[in-house]
Amino acid sequence: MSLQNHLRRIATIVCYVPLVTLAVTRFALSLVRHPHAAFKGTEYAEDDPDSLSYDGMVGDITGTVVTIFSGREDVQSLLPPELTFANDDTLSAWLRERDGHPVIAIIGSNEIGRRKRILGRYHTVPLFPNFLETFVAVPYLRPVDGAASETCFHFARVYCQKFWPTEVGRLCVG
Amino acid sequence: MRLSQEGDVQRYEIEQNGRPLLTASTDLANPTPLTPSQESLSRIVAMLSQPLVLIKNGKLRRIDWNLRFNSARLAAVPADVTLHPGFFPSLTKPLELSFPQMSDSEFGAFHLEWTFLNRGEV
Repeated sequence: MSLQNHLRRIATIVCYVPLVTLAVTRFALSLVRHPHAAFKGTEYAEDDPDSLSYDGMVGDITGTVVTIFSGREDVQSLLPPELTFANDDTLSAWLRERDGHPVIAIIGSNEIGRRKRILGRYHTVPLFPNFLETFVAVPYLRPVDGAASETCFHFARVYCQKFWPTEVGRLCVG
Repeated sequence: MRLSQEGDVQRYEIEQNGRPLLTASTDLANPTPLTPSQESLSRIVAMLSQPLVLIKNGKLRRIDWNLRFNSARLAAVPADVTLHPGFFPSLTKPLELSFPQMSDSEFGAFHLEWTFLNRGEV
């Protein structure tokens, strides 16, 4: 056997076998943990914006949602200086008729993970164990130096139970 | 942050510097299924479907954040929420709010289970 074949064989044993074993083990574990999800067909076409067939972040949220209407001064005090309220002519008609500005609180727990393609199927690789998290969203905003017609929403506060998800969130999205 | 459950009632508490900031309770006993097309819910879907803007190091970042409401499990449930001083910087005493379930009241409360997507900065 040539030296090249020896090296190839060694490389196969050292790298390939453990990697395949790892991938198969992870897939087998996902079958045990989420048997229905593993065998379920793709729910959406891959180019559908709702498709989970992509590499990226996902989060499973379970919680209660309430909408609080509060005075603009109160809501403004939650906002960073880069954001302000959207112009009145961009607001929905129902909102123009109401007193106060909406603040949406999503109160619950979250489990974030990363979608990865493993053995031809997308799976969620959990990044952190489930933790409590509350999002405080303020819609109908616009950047102070943005176009007058622009509207956006902003998570004015995110309360997170665990240290590492908090720090990773700060690092990634501010 | 704490979450506790007594029977069908979930209680949730957020503290900051040892003081309560938000307390909430939700009764999950009789959830009424909802669809995103329900009038009040469709307004919330529309609000949370606006582009998400976050700020990092003083720079605006537009995030492709998809809530996938069409795939979520949604149910109207009642909730009671108390905002404590500090939730809004101008709040000086607790503000108690009662939310009927969304199927009975405009902008009532609802419970959800969903998977959101974060495709990152756009």
